[in-house]
Amino acid sequence: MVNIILLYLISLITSIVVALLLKVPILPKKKPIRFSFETSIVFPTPILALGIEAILRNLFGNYIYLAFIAGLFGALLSKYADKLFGEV
Amino acid sequence: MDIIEGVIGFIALLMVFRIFLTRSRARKLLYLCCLSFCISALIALYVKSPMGGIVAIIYFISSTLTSNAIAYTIEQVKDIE
Amino acid sequence: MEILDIIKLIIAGIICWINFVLIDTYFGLPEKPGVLGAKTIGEKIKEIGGNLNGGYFMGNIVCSPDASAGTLLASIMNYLMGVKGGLIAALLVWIGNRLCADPGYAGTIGALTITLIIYLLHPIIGAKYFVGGMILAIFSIQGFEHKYASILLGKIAKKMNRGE
Repeated sequence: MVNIILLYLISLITSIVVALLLKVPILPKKKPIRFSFETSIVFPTPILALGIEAILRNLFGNYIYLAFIAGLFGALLSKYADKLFGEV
Repeated sequence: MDIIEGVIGFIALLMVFRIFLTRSRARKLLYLCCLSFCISALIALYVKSPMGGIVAIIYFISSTLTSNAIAYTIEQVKDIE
Repeated sequence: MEILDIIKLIIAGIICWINFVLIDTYFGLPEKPGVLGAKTIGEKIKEIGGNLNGGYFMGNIVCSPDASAGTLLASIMNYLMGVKGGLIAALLVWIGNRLCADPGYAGTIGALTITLIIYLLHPIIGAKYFVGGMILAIFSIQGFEHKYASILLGKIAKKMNRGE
């Protein structure tokens, strides 16, 4: 139980650190936030990292390096979401 | 049959009849949305494995994409007329 | 035994209804149509005597997976896989939201809150009841009577300062 929470925490912190290095903004600049398409550190990055970590853990097992990879991919997906899905 | 599957199946049948009986095309989409909720839940309850859950999610998201396209087309056709 | 099942189903339905209506209203579904199709449906609801903001709410539910879809899919994945299923559902709902040209706040947050609620309540009400309860909740809005449902949603939107 403690082990699993540790894995989730590692992926969460990795994603936030990588997103900071990639210069993702902390909050979207455009107001109101609830209609803004801009990705930020608070909203999609941690959720994407946790979801990818859950998928990898279900497929391959409980390994620490998988948690790092999940955090990295979460941050990358959050950074390049606009290029991947297109604007509006 | 469990009571939950019974209730969901009954609602799905009711929605099929209402889709036939409604004349407005835009309001058919609302009933269709409720029907795809029911089908997605039934897939997950009968296929009791993680893959069944993924199939239910893919089915639901693609059905909303289709509804999105149909509603957009209805609006465009109204403009042309 | 049957009576107990039905009571659990109805309680789960009420919890799901409150969860998705509050989150959808907070993230501004009744305020404006997110896509062009939702506008058509809102105007059609107004034609039959309903409320325009409630109509936009219902049109937005049809046209992209919002908190209603997040609630249903997260309770399905919780039933099949446990808590990690809820996280996977949140990720996939976000991708689906982006495909439908929607920012995706409502869907993911709805999925995460229902995961938390199911985790807290799972000794009493199993995740299976939430799947059935969500169907009852969406039936009460999209399938039962459009006019009165839209008026009720319009009143809730007005009370939460989303919509005129």
